[in-house]
Amino acid sequence: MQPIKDGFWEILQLIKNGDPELYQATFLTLLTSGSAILLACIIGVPSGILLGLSRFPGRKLLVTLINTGMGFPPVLVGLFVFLLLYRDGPLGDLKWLYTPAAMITAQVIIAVPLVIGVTLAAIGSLEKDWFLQVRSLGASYGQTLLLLLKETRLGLAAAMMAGLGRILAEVGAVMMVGGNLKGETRVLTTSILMWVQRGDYELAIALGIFLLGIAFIANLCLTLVQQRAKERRTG
Amino acid sequence: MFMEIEHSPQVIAVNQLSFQFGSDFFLQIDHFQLAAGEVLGLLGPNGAGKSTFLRILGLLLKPSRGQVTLSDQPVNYGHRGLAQRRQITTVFQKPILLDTNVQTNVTTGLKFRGIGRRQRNRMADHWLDCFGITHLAKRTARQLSGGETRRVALARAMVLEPRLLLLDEPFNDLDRESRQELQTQLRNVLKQVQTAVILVTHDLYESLGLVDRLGVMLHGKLVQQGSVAGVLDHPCNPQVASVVGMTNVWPAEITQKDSGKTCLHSGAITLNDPNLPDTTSSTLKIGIRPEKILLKPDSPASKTLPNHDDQHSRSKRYVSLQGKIIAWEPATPLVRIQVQLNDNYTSGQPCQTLNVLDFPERSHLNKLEAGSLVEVQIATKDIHIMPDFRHPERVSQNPID
Repeated sequence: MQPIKDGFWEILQLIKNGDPELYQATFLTLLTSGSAILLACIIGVPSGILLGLSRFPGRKLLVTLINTGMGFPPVLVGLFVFLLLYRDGPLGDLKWLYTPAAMITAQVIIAVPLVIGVTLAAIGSLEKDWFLQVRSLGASYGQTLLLLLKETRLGLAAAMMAGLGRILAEVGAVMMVGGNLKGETRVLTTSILMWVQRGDYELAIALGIFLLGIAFIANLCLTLVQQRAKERRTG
Repeated sequence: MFMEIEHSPQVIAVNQLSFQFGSDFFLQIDHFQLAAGEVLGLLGPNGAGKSTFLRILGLLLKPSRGQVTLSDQPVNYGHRGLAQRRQITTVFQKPILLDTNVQTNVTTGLKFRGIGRRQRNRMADHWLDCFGITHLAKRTARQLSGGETRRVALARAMVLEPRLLLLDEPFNDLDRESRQELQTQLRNVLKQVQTAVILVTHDLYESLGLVDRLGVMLHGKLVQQGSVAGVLDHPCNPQVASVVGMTNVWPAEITQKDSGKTCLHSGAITLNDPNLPDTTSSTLKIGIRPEKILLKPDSPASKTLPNHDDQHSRSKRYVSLQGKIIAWEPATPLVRIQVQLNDNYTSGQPCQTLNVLDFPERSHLNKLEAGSLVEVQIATKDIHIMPDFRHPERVSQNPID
């Protein structure tokens, strides 16, 4: 219990003193996680909608793959991205390895199956004849799509929160492809791992509390948006 | 006498329409049309294809073959047909309301059509008022009762001022009071507009107050269309008869008397010199509507006259029979009475049982109840003769649940 109490004190000190390492790690966490969730949604939400609406042979197989992907070991994703981006790899010329770009890539690949899966569930929760009903009201394809996003907004917000959760928690893959370079690719999660390995448990706990705080605030914002949307129903 | 009939503008017409699902046809309709302001009731058992037909007419389902024209223009089922699709509105059996409040639900269709907010709200207010749901405007649509949901769906449809309104069993799942209230509101609303309406219903009687014409569908075909009286009193075969509530149907035989006159027998009922239908079918049946049978308490005087012919007026001819009431039950607002006929001219056949629908006041006045002996009077013009024809069933499965 003592290390946790010490951790609380330590994080308050670090914040008060404006510790540069803390702020660097936080900034990089927000940069990489923020970019990754945005990209994951841009890729995942339309894919989820398309998949949810279409029927083709092999669809069930694809859905199963995506469900498997949701629980895919992140460290394997890290390995895969590493092999893609290292000097002799197929995308080595990009020189992304050990930069935030590689971390974002890994995080996007980890989050996309989750975003698609939850979006699929949101689309699936619509009544069977929803499209027929909207079409009979005279909606064009564009109008139908906008209305679809509006009707499933609660589910889509849930998709975003789920993906963000996974991204913020990621340590193994981002360590592997980012290298934990101070000021460049050292994020909160990799910092925690590093300090534990070096024996400074109080600092690791302090950073952990800070990370939880960020995750909480991010989810609070999304939840408020989601709940306001729920209340808007009564307009 | 030459009469000039003013034709209302034709809203929708169908020619040689067929819809296939799998290898066999599911729907096959040769000709159909509807004029502005006409209200057609579409009857038929489950699986007859009514909902499928409605989807095709609503431009929501493309037929396999055939032409559909809207105001004499061929229709387009793709995105180019958007303007046409916007002239037709369908209210489904289970209307789906959007996840928002009632007012927004009602104005959604108008928003799609690019109508400005103030006008949208004005139009919505009018139609919410027509259906008596103004007080629900700000309520969450998904929290309404069945009756309220249906009213919102109807308001949402009428606000679009469609040229063609398609109602698929609009009074389903409603209790009798809500049903009657909604029917009255709908009747008043339809009187105000020139919309052509097709009302699909299971329940014959609930639609009668609303419709001008009836159509009967069986096994994917539109087997009879016409005026309400025409279809109800003269169904073209026993299957249609059962759909339109003609519950007294029996086989009939034709015999030739020595004098050369033809005679039609069906159990206790005999018709002299009947008007036979023009048909190639070898067997005939008769049908009598339950509402057209008059029951009187049995009196000794009438026993001596089995068939009463009024010489003065042919239309006053009627058949008189004796029977006993074997069942009497309420069928609000009427009563359903079963009468077993005494006379049985064909040995070995069971006695005919008549289904009668009567006014409860009349029965009470005559003190009729189970066990009473009655005199049954049926006008000969109400004894309908039809060929004993059965429509073949189709193989295809119903593509719509």
